Amino acid sequence: MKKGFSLTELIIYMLMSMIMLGIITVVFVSVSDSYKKTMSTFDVQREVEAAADQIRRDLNQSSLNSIVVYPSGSERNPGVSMISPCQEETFSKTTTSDSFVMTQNGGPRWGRYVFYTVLPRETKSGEQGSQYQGRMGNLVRWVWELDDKDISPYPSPTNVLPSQFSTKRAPFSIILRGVPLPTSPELQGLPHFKTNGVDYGGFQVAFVRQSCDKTGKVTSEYLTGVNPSKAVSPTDTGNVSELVQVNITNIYISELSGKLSAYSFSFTSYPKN
Amino acid sequence: MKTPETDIKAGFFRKRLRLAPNSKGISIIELVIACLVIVTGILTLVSCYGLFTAFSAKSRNRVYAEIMAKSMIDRIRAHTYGDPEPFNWNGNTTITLVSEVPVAKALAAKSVTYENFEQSVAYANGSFVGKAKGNYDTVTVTIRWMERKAGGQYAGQGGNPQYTTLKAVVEVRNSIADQQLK
Repeated sequence: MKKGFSLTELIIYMLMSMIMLGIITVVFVSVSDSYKKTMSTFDVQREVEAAADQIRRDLNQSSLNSIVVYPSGSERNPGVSMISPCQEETFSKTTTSDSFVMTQNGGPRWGRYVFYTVLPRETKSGEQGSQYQGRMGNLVRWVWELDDKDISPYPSPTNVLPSQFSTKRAPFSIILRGVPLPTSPELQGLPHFKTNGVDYGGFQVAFVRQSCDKTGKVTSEYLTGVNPSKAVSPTDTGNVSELVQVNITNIYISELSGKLSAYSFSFTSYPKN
Repeated sequence: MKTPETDIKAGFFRKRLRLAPNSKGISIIELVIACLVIVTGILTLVSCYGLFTAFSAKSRNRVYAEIMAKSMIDRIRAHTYGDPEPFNWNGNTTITLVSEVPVAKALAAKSVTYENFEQSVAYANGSFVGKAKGNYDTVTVTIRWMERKAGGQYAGQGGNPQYTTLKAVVEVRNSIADQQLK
């Protein structure tokens, strides 16, 4: 009766163990990598989609004449302000929703202004993304509810700037973390949005103007920093298409892996009222 | 503790497994079979993870295609009935992606991927864009993009890429003509 292993058996077993360990290591590394990528893709996608959905809803319900895009005047950070016919309704202690409010005449009741701006993000030293300290921002949304006496039957732009939320004592909510500020470093292949030499960082809102030449060819160009009513002079052949384009870049640093993921895209919205 | 009963049981299993009467431990064939079973299990798990990654990318692409279709519907709503078709209604739109790249490399390395979406618009009679007379038209918006069958994050990564299509149909009518009729 044999006891123990022969040298040949031992070598074969060791080789097989090494092969198995190698396979398990490769598989573990690739699965872990794949998991991190999937989670990063999911996280970036989820936040950007929610933000895009919120902006689209606000723009769709607003009036084109009330929309002002920034940087403009003393407002340095990219952003947008618009009038809104919505009002927050509370359904329970934890559930609130925006409802469209109409006047007695059946028109929209322009009871508030909605603001979007990119505020510098505060990152603690040593935290993921601290190398972007002061150069990365968060896209924030805040609402200024008008008093009844201030409500106008016609939508008009506001003089309040998106950065003045503290003067209106309005709380803001972060709708997208990791939006590059104009001062942020640019990623290769993922430049900041720029028009006419103005750097918008990772958030730009622009009006779309369409012009039609004699051959019927229609061209589109993007106007920024102005209200659309001022964008078209009487001698101008172009006409505002009533469309607003939103460009967003989101940079996300995974807490799981410490690596960077980014997502950049555009969409168009039509302020209907 | 060995009992006559356990000896009978051991003998039964030895016969069933065709093991040598005095062999101890496992033979090399058994080991190879065990390894093959483990490797098959691991490979199945890996292929599942590949599918999860692909599904995550597919979900992202579908959501963006939906965003594009909504944008296009807004453009159609903003278009005056009978005006010429803007040239950018048919064309490509790109989303830019960076996925899990070390922060230091992201600023220098070629780590950016572009996912391309093709958009085309078709009309039932063309009156909406002034190609024919009429006050009623049906506009079909088609968004098309390349997608892998399984595994991988992007269309260009191995596998068998294939086109995926999303269609939106919008019925439009000439509101000015409607008002004139009233």
